[in-house]
Amino acid sequence: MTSPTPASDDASQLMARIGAGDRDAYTILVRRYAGHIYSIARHMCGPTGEAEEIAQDVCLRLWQRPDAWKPERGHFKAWLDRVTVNACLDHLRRRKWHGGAVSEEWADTAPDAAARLAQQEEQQAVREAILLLPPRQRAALLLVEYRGMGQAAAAQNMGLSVDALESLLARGRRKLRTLLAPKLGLEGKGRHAAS
Amino acid sequence: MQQVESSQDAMLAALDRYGADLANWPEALRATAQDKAMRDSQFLAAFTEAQALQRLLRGLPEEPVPADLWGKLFAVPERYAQTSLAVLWSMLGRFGRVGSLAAFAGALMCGVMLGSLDASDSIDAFAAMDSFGLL
Repeated sequence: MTSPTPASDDASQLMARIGAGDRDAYTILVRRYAGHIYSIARHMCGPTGEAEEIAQDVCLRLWQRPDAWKPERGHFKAWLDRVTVNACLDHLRRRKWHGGAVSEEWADTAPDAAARLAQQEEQQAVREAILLLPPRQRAALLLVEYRGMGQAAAAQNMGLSVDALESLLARGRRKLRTLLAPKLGLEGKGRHAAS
Repeated sequence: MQQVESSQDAMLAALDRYGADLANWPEALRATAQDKAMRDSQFLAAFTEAQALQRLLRGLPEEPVPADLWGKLFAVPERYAQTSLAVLWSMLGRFGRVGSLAAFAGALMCGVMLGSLDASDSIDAFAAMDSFGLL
């Protein structure tokens, strides 16, 4: 019995095939990772349409610059997170320059079952709170808490020292805690009860 | 077990910095945090709160890719050609760095050689290559 191919090796083969102009390999890769890319972009930018632009930018990069990923430098997904987060930060910087506003209305795409309502509201509150963080705090928290990336890897991904990343995380967590406390019933238990 | 003495404020600041996952804490502080969570109700409450926040963030679902976006993503190869440089680099990459440099040097040499020829003359290519000592 053969052992399953690790995802990273598989991605490595697909990226090599893309480098040779193989469109099927590109399609397989996009089918596998588009949700990953889009989710980060959506949480970073909100429901503004930018997430779709970013997903296209990142996929275009996969197609045109497959040599940009070096397997020896780490896992494919981690590299993809870095490319996506950097694309998001670029978009958010441009949005700032052009005075764009963040929409906090999220389309409710989940079914309307009553049993899921509370969970949907909770997730909605978290999405909105994340969008109120400064972009770099948002990126740091998404990489570490949402993606479960180690702090050293996340720091490397964002081009920061571990110390700088931890500062971003600390500020982001403090702000999220304040934002989410009233909606999620955390008040009275934690620190903000005393503050 | 060696523990680091830390004030309440310092431990709460560490909780913000490293989060509720003790695996992300520096080893020297882990035991102190565990001990404090058992003895100090305020720190335990803060730790529980940090765990709740972590659960919420980790519980966010993957956002579904809109149907029309799939079409745009799959159409990328038809709409955009791969840059010739990327394709060339990918091809050269198979031969490793030394092979790539050798190929580049060879191409450069051919370019110099051809560029030095006078196109108006009737040229015997073999004679030209011979004059460069390549035959």
